[in-house]
Amino acid sequence: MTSKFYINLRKSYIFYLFITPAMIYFLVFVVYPLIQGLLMSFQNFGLLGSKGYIGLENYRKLFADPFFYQTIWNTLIVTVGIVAASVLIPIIIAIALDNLLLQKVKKFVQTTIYVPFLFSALIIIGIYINLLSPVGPFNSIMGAIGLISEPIPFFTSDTLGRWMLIYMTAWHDIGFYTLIYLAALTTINPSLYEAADIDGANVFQKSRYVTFPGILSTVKIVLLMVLMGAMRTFDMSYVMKNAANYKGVTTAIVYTYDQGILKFDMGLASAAAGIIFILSLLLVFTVKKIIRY
Amino acid sequence: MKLKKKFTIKQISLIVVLVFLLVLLFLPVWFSLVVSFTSSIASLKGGLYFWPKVFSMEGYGILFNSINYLRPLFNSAFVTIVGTCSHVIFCSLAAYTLIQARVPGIKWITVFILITMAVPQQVLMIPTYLLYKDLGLINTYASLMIYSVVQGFSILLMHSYFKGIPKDLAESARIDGAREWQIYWKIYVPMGIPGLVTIFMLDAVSRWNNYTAALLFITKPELYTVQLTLKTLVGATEQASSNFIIAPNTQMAAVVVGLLPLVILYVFLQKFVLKGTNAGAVKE
Repeated sequence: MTSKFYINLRKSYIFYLFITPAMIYFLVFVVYPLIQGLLMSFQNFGLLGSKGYIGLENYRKLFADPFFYQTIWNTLIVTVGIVAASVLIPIIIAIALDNLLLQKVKKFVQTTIYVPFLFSALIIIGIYINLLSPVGPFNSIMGAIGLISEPIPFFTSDTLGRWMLIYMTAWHDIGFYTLIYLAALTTINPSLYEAADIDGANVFQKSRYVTFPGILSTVKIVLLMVLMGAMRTFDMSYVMKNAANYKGVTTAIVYTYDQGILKFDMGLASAAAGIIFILSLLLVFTVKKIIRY
Repeated sequence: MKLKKKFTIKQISLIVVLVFLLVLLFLPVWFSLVVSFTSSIASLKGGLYFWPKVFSMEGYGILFNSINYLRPLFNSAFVTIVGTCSHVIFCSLAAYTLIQARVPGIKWITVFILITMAVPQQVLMIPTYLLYKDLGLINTYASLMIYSVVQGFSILLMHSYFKGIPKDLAESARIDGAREWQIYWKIYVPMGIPGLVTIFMLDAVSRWNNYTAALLFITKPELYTVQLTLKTLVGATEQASSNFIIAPNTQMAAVVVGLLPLVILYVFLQKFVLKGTNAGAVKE
């Protein structure tokens, strides 16, 4: 047994070589910063490095900052909004596409709907600043037909800003998840629908008893993917935040950046990052339990 | 007869709804395109128009002459090409190793990779910044190439592709005296192309679009990526101090040029991307 193990080991050196870059990356750029971050959260860590351990002082300061709670709250609301939009809307589009018989139209929609997924947060914000600026197309037409007397301040109001954050993220995601659902829909055995037809099932019964169970596992995966992505929202929030809307759009991750990089309080920022990490693990774990994944 | 009529009405209404949806999705992009081809003065005035009111290439002229947008385009392209190719090589090599059940400790390595996947990079932002600073990587191209050069997700995706390749092929090659790297290069890479293209595309998109890493590591203007430059052009809040106003046509020209490379790449790789998404969804 042991000799076989050593023969395997000697034969395997090339494989260890193959996986070395990946292991170095994970150890140096994931594990080390993780430990470093944990240690920093107990230190007075400023611009010039550590000034020693201060116990739980960073956590005390963090929990005394009302704005930290605000950013956690923002993250939660934005996450709920993004999950609702990015998980549910693509199901409807995918079912519509799946029922389409004209293959050319189907192919065309499939190909083009993916495109927003290629756009960065900066590109999307650029596109929407143009569309929704006070003199932009949207406010112009609304003003022209008399629906509004003043331009709607999409990017300079905290409540609207939060909606914009949800909307723009969903706009980015929808095509990608539509394709994933569509792939799951095509794996459903067509004979199930035929059997349902013979039994005289109507459209709703068919979706309830054939379509929905067929894509349920995919829905769960997408739900978890969107959930994890939404809790990590940084780019979109950081770029669109300004003096007028920061209360509504600053996410928890942006809070850590502001504290750590802009205000040089890296100890406090690390404490915040640790809390966010634990909260997100808890949330994902709870959701996993609820959906029995 | 009646059945057929009902069927076509349903199909037509489906098409109408889907086309309407596409128009809704892409109208904002169209407006950006229109504004980018409008003269500066007309674009500053705004308003609703579906075709350039005063057609002009002024925006693109300012973008490439006064702002020198070619430099960030080059920076982003360089970082994306080198970083993404390394990503594909490292991740596929790791995936090839993970399918070797006989290699001692391979299970533990797999578990380790799965655990690291639970750690969001954004949470590590501050210590990551310090680490790159200590390694002397601030303001280097290398920083943006190294950032997420290995991703657990890509390894797992390639792992599931490689697992689908019959083991007998590798075994018979081994009996014929082939080296492991030959088996990887001559059997697994050619047969895993759809998977490789998928992780290539996903990583190219996230690398070209990466803003977080560039924000952390790059402060020198000559190393600015497209995303950082877009922030100075589009993020209008900090513009009050700059000497000249950047008109919407220039901003939208920057947006259009900034999204073009990935759209072109997508047009070429589109078949693989759609297939890869399908396979990924089915396998998971």
